[in-house]
Amino acid sequence: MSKKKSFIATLSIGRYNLSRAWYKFSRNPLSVFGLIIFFLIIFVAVFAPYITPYPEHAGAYTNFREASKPPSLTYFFGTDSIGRDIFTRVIFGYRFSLILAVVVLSLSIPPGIILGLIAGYYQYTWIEVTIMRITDIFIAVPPLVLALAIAAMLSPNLFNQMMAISFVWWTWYCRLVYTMTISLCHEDFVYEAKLIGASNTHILLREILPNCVAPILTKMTLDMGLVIIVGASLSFIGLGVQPPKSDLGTMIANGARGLPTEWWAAVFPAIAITLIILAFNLVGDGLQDVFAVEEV
Amino acid sequence: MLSASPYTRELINNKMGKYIILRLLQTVFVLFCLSLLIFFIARVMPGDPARVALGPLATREQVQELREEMHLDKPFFVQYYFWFISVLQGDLGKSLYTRRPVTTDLKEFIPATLELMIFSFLISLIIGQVMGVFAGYFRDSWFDNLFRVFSYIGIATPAFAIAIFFLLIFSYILNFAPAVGRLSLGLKPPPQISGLLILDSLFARQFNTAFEAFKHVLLPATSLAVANIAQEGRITRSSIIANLQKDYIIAHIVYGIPMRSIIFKYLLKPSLIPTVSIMGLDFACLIANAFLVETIFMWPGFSRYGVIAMLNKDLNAIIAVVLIIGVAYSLMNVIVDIIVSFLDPRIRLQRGGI
Amino acid sequence: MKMRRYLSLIIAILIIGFCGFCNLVGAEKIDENVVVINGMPVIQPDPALSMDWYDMQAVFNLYSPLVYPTPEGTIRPHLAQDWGVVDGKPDHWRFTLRQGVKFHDGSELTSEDVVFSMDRFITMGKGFSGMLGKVNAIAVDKYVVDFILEKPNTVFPEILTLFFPLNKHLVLENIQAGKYGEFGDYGENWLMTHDAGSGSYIMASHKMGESMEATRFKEYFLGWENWGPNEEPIERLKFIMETETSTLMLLLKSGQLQLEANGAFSRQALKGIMDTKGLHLNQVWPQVWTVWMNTKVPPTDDVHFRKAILYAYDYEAILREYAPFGAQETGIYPSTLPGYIVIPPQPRQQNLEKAKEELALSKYNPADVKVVFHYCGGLEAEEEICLQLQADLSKLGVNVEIVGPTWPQYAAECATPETTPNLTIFMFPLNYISADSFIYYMYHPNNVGGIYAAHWYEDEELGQLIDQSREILDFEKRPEIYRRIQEKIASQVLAFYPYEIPALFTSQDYLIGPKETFSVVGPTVNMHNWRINLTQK
Repeated sequence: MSKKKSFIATLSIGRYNLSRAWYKFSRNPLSVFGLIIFFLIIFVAVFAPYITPYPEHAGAYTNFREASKPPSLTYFFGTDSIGRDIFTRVIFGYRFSLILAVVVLSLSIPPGIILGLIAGYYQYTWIEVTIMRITDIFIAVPPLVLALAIAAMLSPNLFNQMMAISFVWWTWYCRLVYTMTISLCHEDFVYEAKLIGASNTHILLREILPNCVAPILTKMTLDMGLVIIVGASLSFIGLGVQPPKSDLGTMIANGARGLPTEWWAAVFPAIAITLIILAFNLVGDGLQDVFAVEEV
Repeated sequence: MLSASPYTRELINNKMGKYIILRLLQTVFVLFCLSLLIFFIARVMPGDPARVALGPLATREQVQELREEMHLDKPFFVQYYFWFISVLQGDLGKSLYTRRPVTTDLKEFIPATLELMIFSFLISLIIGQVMGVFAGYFRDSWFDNLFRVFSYIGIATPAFAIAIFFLLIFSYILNFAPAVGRLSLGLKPPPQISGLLILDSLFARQFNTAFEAFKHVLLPATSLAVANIAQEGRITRSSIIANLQKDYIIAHIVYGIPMRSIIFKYLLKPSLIPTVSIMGLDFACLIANAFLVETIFMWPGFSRYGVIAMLNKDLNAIIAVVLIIGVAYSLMNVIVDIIVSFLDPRIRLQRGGI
Repeated sequence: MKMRRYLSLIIAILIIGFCGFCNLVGAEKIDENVVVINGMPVIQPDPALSMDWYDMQAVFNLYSPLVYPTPEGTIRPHLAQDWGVVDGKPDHWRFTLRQGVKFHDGSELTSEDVVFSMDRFITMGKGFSGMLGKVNAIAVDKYVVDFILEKPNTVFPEILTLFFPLNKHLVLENIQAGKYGEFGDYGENWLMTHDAGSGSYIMASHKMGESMEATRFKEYFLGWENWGPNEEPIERLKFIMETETSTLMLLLKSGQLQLEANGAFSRQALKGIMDTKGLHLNQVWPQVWTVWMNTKVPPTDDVHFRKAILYAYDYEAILREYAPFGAQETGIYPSTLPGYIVIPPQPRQQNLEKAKEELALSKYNPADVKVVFHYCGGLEAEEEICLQLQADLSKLGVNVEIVGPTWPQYAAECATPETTPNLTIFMFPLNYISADSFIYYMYHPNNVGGIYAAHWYEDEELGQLIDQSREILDFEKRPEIYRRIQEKIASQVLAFYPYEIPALFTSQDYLIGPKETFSVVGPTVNMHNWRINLTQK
């Protein structure tokens, strides 16, 4: 865990710390590798319509004559049972995975952090009790279960999928920030700030929160992979994006029907998901190294 | 066993007892609220469960009759009250999909998933811990590097992707283990005692059946275990590395105590503590993560039943499934917390540290 | 240290070796003369509760109905020898039973059992009982039963193919506490795992959701006639519930599964089966894909828009992949039924120019509207048709949104006209052997809405025509009425039909049959209809 800093101290972070962070990060070749893949995937996903060989295959397109063709030079990953190029669809599928990860985390982290701060700061009051009990309910089951129950209740599309996952995801951040806030509450610099007359908001946001940034960031990168897995699990059973859009989970589900003879329809999307999660995990590990004090 | 004084022991036991009771009460309360939440979600879902159960050709009168039978036209809290009363009597209601009591379904499907989880746990324990210890001990050797690469990939690959790869490689290409189900078709299952096929067939001395069941459980259990192996192995590895650098170990080496006894007596236990807490949580998570693997391997398990229930708006089954998962998960959390707080202070006392 | 490493290595090798060895040794052999049939999850073997076609496949083996469908599309005597209306009024029917029919426990089937079973069927009010309405059954004689109906219905005998008498005494011996007064639960619980029928096979065991076994009933009243040398009746059946395609292919190829009665294989799987020696495909009942067009929601509320969809769809695209099975759909119900006529435009072919013409005639601008097409999530064949239509309509500039909700949501959406999507796709099996099975439930104004009639088109005149067809006893006049009904329906373009494909059941070559193929679900898989040639196995 990084050293606890007061607000005054954090002001001096600036560029100096950033280059130190990069140095720590780049010492592990695997993290750099992960970062490269990460940027590669983002680049490819953003410019998908321009770099994929058959961009129209990701939309309203059918060609049953070319259905279930094995990988070849014309179709790098082969075609699925409708005749669409799997390589193109995988790249477009990355778009959905990235959007899912970004939106879910942006929606769930801020409320989680705020509620965690409030709950930790106002300990032993009814505010803390309510918030933490609600959190306990959500944490009582693995996130996939509740997300599944909610998603099954709504009409299946990307928006609802994101809503369902966000609805259960904020509680983990709430918990994390809560445990940190409880211990940080009693630090010297917090008392000093109170003495000076700083408002509660200032204390929460400027004194306590910056010290939580490290574990939040690490958890966030690891969570991106987890969110993608949960999203893919939901799409696997059909509760995600609808055809003709291609989500990696849906592609795996459709492709699994063709095993073992038409293996390419399931294997390549599976490798694609593994790659993106691997990238996120490696970057997350690298970040852990950056914030770590002990060395292993 | 304990080197602590009787006074400390007394203190810990009392505190322990109170702590356990407190946690259990908390868990019960949380589960109660969870049941309310899930009940609410299940009822709010669009779609008329009576209409779905009776099929599209049922007349409106038939649907209305079934709705009244299921108390669907009553307000929310009345429905919850009816449900709560019957749960207290042990009746979890009737499943709309399988058309028999939910408790019967659970009795049938939970052992299947339990078997899967136990095997997965054993595999991750044996293989994961052993590999972790070796990798930590022989740091930077070829084994260690291989293990680190494997662990990255193992954590990153979702369980269903692993399941697909295994299915393809081991079942279809190498024909090493069967692909689906718990037992081949022609075989008669053993008389049911525990529901765990392997145990039951061993009890009934049907060794051939036991082997078949073992072969069938191998692939799904390993698919589930890979992620845990990777994760737990890494933690074991890093804690072994950390502990190897500790003063007391170096002191023992200098004293000339053979490595073997150092490892077994002094190194393993402290290194395994961080892993134990993760293992408990992973085991509980298995129950939810198993569903995709169960779907791919056509394993008739509890998770798959839960997913089908949610997709078919099988109200009673949904609530039962979520509650059981909640119970298992919360209990596991409590147990792990207790174990960890048990272990830590004692070991701290043993070492004579802070 | 080394010891531990070696130990774990040895254990690993042992385990792997064992598995490989066991594989070589192979699995236990299964019984000869057991035919394994693949059904679907959860069979409901109680004839008063059974509803789906996979239930009917089991029920037709365990029980016998009063009348039996014929391959030509009519009905023939079965448990009932003779039947007719009393006093020329189609709300009072008299059935004369065959004598000497035995139940599985040896007792004789009499009118008492029929009356009890009909009361049970109507009182429990589930399954297909809704089709019969309120029926009052009276035992006139030991072998004569009268049925008094609520409303006159000339199709009543055809619907009776879905009614199966049970053994009254056996059921009454096994009733448990329930809500039907003196009848308790009417034997509902007991009948899940036992049978009280007179059919060709006796239920030996039933594990819900897993398997059901049955043995041959040697005193079956129709007898077990010889077919040819070495062609023997099947002694034991085992229904399993396996839905995964790859497993089924494995089981079929290894010979462990003899009859696949699900018929839900993908094209690739079908090609694989056709290429395999020892397996062949049987065409059983016809299945028609129907895509309903909601007439109450824009833009499909405009008949020209609907016609445009009819012309825009590329019928050949998917159909040619199914060759040699499948064909263009040419009418409103299966061609095997009497009264069938061909509905223009024929042949069904994609005609984009005509589609554009119709679009121009409609009151909507293609760019402004969105067509919502729902299918039941998870069904690949439905998804294909949706995607094909989407691709076709996009050529005309019409946007199609595809959603695949879960089955309960899908069914719920069709409950009101506003929530029903523009297009819904479904495959309707023929429940009983009459065109009425489709016409009454799909087009009568009383039954509008729901999955069966998601077009929401109400026409009083059509309703009157349909009622007339149910009241006219004269069988000669009925086809004329059906013709008028079909023309009226066709002119409104309430649906388009992507293609028609028979249900394809895979069987091993040494399984001989089916002797008769029926257009309704169920009787084809009555294993009395099949024999097995053990010498070829």
